[in-house]
Amino acid sequence: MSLEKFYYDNKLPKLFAIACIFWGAVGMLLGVIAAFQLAFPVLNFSEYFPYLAFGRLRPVHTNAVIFAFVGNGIFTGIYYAIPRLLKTPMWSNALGKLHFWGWQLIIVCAAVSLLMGFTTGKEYAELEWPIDIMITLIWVVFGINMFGTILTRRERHLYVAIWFFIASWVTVAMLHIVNSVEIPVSFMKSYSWYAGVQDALVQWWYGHNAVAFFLTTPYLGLMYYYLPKAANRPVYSYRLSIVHFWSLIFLYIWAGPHHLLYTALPDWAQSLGTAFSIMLILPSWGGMLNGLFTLRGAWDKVREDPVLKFFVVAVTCYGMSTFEGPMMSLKSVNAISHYSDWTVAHVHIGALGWNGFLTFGMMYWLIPKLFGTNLYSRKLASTHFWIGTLGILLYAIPMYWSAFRSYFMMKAFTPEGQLQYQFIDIVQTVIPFYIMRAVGGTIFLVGVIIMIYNLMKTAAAGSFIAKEEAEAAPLIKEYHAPSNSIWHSFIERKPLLLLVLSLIVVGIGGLVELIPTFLVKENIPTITSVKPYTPLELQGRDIYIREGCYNCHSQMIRPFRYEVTRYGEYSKAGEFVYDHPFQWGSKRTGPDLARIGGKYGDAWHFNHMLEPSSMAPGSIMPSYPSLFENEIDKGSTISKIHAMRTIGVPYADNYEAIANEDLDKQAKLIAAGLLENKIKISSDKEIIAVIAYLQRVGKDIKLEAKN
Amino acid sequence: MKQNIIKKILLSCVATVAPLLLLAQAPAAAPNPGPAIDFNWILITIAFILLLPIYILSNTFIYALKEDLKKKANAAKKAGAVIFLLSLSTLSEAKSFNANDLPNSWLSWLLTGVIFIETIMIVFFSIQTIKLLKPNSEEVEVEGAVEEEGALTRIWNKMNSFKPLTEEGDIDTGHDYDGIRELNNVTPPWFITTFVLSIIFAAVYLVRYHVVKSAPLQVEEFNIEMAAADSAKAKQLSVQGNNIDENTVVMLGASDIEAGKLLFTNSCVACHAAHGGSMTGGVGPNLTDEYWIHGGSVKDIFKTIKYGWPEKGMISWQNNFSPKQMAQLASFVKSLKGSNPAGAKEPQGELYSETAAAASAAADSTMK
Repeated sequence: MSLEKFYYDNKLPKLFAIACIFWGAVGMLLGVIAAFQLAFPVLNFSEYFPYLAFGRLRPVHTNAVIFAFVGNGIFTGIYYAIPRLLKTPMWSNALGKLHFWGWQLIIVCAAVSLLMGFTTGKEYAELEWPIDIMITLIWVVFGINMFGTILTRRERHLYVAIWFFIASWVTVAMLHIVNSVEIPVSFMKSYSWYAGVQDALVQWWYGHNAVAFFLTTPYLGLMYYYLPKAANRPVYSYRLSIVHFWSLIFLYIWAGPHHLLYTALPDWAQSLGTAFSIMLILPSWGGMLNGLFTLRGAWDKVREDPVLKFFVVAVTCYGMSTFEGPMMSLKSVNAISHYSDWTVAHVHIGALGWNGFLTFGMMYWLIPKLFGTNLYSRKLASTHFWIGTLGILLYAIPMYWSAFRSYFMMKAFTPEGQLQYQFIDIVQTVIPFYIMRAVGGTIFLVGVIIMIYNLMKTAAAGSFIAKEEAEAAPLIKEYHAPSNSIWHSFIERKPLLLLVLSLIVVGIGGLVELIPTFLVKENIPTITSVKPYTPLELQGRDIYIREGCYNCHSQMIRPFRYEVTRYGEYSKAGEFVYDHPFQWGSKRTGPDLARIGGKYGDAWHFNHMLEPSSMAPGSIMPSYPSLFENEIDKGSTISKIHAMRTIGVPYADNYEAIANEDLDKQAKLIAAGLLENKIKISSDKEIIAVIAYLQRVGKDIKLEAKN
Repeated sequence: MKQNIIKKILLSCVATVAPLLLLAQAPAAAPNPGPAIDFNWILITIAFILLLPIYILSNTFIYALKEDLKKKANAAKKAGAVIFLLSLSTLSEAKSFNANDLPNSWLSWLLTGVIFIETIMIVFFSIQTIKLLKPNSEEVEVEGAVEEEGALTRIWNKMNSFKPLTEEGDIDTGHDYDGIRELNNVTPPWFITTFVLSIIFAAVYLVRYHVVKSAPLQVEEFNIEMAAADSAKAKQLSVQGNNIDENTVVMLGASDIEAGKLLFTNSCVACHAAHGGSMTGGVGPNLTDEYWIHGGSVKDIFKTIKYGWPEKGMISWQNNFSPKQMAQLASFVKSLKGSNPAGAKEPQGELYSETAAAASAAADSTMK
């Protein structure tokens, strides 16, 4: 058997690594700015321009960290590890380059479009349809390149890391495509195909599994390569790998509804979410155990080697988050954590601890390898480690604290049965925690800057190895498995089978939850008084989405005494049937708006949007002066009505013809009402549409009560 | 032999406690639920989680005991003590959960008690195991056969069924991926046990809510919570004489007006201005003049505060202020009349005068 000579390419891993670190720093910086904005609203700079307000900045932060930082981190790891695990170069260098530049282009387009206000209004899937298509194409390019490599491999069996990469690839493709089904209204504007409860279920099936199959499983794959490499220890248990891989991907997909507990989602779907979340604990821990136990016999190294230190904390944070998550899926715990800062703390343990530290550990190991040298300073890396850990703690602890504090204030009643605290009182008490959190984030970012310096010095000290020579024998067609090999090794020899099996396994949970919610009518009982939005309200709703109001305001009142007393009648599934997309939100930095319609007068909203603290002293909401200058985009009304009808909103035939007349009529009425309060404003301004929308939200059900 | 018996008892202990913990809420929630629901659930969860270390530790303890048994004759006594302790705690837990008609605070206390007992069990097993293992590990050291291991390390190794590093070669799969070898250690026993327990939990959870329906779904839970709140509220109002409404409210004295002023400053000034006269372009009307949109008597003002006039922008305050506080506010607002602040809003609504109102009221009564 003759050995074949070939070369591993290091250029793409290097490019991806640079992109990962660069976007990571940018994403974290945006997070720090957004964190300070919550404490000091003046930092929204809304006096000068609308682009940096929290509602627009926060999606840029989340998307940057998830898809730019972690995304490029995944690709760095994969483009370095896969060729070596399969003993072959990446299948196509050209596709690799297309993948790299395409992904960076997507990131730039994403950042610019989100700041400009182009958003679908669905969390972690905010990007508009042209970018969605770009993502799909580049993801396919990545898939072809990865599978090309796998199919031309010189290693018969696939290592566990590659199982994770394959399952992640196929599941992310499925999630992205299903959740992005939307009808374009114009270039950079679309409506989600799904409405209300169904949209919420699809979105959180996606959102939860974006965490699972973008932030978790690919990173488990990276852990399975870089951790044993850095520790120079064998992986603890092959058996455990098999058990936890299959159980993890099967169970993970079901857990999405735990983001919608106590909402208008049908009870059975909520219960499935909880039950599967609990079962998910151990499969998740399987990864942590296999990682930590691999370090058996190498703990003396952990004390010395910064790479391993990062890995240990990363894997531990992973274990803590994956235990905390299921606990938060228990109804009684979720009642406290949902909409609160607890969830924010939880994700950041995962993002800063698991994804952040694993990436840092990988970089400290990989960059010296790529440049054929040693790390410039182990001491600085250790400093980074301690600063980063401190940053995580300083970030998380205030958030937990503020979550519990606001929960107990929120549900406090006087003996006479009145709410003891107004929402604004609660906002005021948590501001100090927001400041501490922002400081924690800043410290974490300082650590990253230290790392960048350290890695640049390392690169400067070495010389880049663009190609690495390797030798291996080609695979021969004939193969007889040894008699003692286990059944699973068969799957490990068949990448396409592994792909199909993964798809089937992840498909089951999704189908069981989605199909009945779409097809069984009892799941969303009809409310006859619920009518489509008027053209003006629809335009207002689109402005609401554009400004990212959902980042701070929910539109979903849970059936708790303290919520019903504070906000009004709890939300019903039938109320949202025309909401493309749903706007239930996931965090209440401001009060719930599900019954805001009719609560205050038009003049109140007018003054409040111009300067929130004038109507609600102590408010941390940014002001929106641009709404008073911009004119309503009446040119889009017709296509919007048309698109809505296409996806099932029952506007009358040919309503397009008179839609703008109706819009004007309603706008003039509102402007005239404001004039009675001595407020002069043209009926063409966006603020009129926003007022119209806000005055409509949650009102239809009141009409039914009157009838 | 003995070990098997203990193991069976242990298992049955876990098996009885687990469903009890799960079902505990059902009977208790029905008669008298309340805000304690959340807290109880947390307690149940903790109690449930604590079963795991108890199981592991007691197993380890038995293992250690077995080792000890070989040497000491009096070990039987210890085993007896364990059985006694276990049955005692099982009994006490069972007892606490059979008490269907206990009010919720009792349930909380009992659950806390269970957790306390569980904690004691954990401490007990830990200390006992360490005690039992100590001489062993010393012996090992003397023999020098194995590397130095503390008692906790041994528990840890036992828990995970670790193979000594020196025997790693036996379980090497022979895999070599870019230099990464794979061992084939057994999946830690506690991992499988807990996984199975979590699946049982999930099944019981679904059955409870959707088949047996012994646990309230969210709307039912809400109705229970509201009913409890309403009765508590009614009781409170009847006790305190706080039962003021728009028909019974009267103008209050100076100290109450002062209290009303404080409430006004905290909650009303955004729309009505600090002096109550609002301002040009302001949201709320002038409260200092003689013109009123919704009536100017103390009863009218009380009603306006209580229910609001949402279509005019006045929100309802009855969920924020007690009847007493609304009466104080109404009295304060009434006291503003004639204060004539600078920059106040122009009059809106109808002229209201005390004497005219009194006269028309009198006319009404003569008509009848």
